[in-house]
Amino acid sequence: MSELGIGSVGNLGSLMLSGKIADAKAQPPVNPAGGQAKSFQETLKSALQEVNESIHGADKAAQNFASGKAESLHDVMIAMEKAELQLRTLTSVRGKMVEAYQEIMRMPV
Amino acid sequence: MAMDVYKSMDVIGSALTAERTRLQAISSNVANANSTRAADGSGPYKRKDVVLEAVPHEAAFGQALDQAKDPYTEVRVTDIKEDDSGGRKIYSPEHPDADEEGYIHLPNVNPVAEMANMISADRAYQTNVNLFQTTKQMALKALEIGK
Repeated sequence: MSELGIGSVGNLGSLMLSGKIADAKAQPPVNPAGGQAKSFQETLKSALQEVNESIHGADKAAQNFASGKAESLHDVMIAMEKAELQLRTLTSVRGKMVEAYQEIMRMPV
Repeated sequence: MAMDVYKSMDVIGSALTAERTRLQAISSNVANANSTRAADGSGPYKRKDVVLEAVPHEAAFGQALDQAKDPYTEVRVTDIKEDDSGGRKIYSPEHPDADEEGYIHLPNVNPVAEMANMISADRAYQTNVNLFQTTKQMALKALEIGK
């Protein structure tokens, strides 16, 4: 069971590193006007880092548990659930952003 | 939103840890239901009881929170106390731990009471797991608002 846990968290991690982060990093040019865009970019960046850290934390907790070092199983599960929830939140923010971008791109000029 | 959800999860996590500690104490009580010697060699084993205490949720990153308005209160195991009440005494003169009159002193563990405590700890654990799932589902539902 814990192996499954490591696998899924690991997958989330690699998903983040390969697709999602690159995707989100490519987004900031959406609104290059003024300071607000920059602050949003920074917000997004720090959110990404936070999610990434939390996923790594969950991964580590699962590894510790599998190798017998860890605290309790429920702490591992809670760390994994938190990481998943954070990732989902981030993904839906990204989805909204891409949607807005596409909406603007479709605008007839 | 997010912070609130994570705080709730921390509180639930603390409850899970507490209930698990309770179960550990119960299992050591049941395991030692017939131990005539304590770990330090004095008398029979004494049953252990877990003392739980409500503590305010730790504010993340040194944020000053208004505790009165903060509903998050964690539970913590403050102490594991020994129950000093007397145990059973049975006549068994051939036992190595028998006293001069031929009695051995058994621990004050009542297996039936321990089973009842076990059910209580188990139910509390399950309730908290359900609470966790509900918290998570609410958060996921909130994410669906944007869809």
